[in-house]
Amino acid sequence: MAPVGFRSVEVALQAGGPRRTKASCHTLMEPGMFIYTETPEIQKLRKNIVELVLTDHPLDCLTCEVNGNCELQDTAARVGIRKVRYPDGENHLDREKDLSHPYPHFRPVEMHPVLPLCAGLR
Amino acid sequence: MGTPLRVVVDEMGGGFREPVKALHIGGPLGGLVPMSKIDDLSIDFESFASNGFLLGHASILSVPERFPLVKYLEHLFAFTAHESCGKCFPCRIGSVRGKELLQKAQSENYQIDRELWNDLLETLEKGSLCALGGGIPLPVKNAMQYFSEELKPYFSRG
Repeated sequence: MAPVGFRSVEVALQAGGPRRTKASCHTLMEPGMFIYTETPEIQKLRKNIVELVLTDHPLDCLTCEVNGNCELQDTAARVGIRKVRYPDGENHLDREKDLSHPYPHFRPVEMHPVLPLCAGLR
Repeated sequence: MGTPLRVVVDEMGGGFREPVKALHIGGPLGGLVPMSKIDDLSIDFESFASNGFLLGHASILSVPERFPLVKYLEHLFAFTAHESCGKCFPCRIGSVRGKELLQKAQSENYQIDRELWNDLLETLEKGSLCALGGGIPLPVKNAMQYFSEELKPYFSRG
């Protein structure tokens, strides 16, 4: 699989090299690389990224038709998000669901074409 | 390279037309240099990096005393939001949220939670796929450090 997009983050540590945070689906593995996916730093970063995603998502899980069968909902729960701290802002909540592609339709109103592509190649 | 910044500003540039509080050097993602640091810098990568700035493409933009810094930071986030390609979440959404937080703090009785603000900057810095989202926290952090008094009213928790 080619490195195509942005799904989650991890730390890649090059032996003898600098420690850097990399997107896991956007980084090729190399010999001598150490990879840490659950350091406190990475857990925090992942949580903060998902929180940003949720600022452009309808927070109506209880009445949503895919409640309980939603990858975004699962992800938010897994990274430990209890609430979104950002005030209401610009969003795309008035958009129609895009059914023109075969990739997962978990009400991703904020999704960019890249992400379904990324999801499809997982 | 190696010319003192003071020489570039005063001698080559002819000084300032009006009082200036900061120089934004190196483009929108470069460091925001307060006037007090001008004599510490020379035009080379090491001098800027060791002082917590970035030489970048070495352009110099003056921020006048009369111009509110919060407005300037809002502009930097707006620039990033406009330029963002949209591929990664931190840059695409984070730049818009940063702009909105600063707008809200200026126009309403609202103070930005400092922890949320730091989290946003860290997320942009570490989580962005390229230097656009990854670079915008630098001038913002410079501003938070050197202009903390001016920016204080817009942030909660001290």
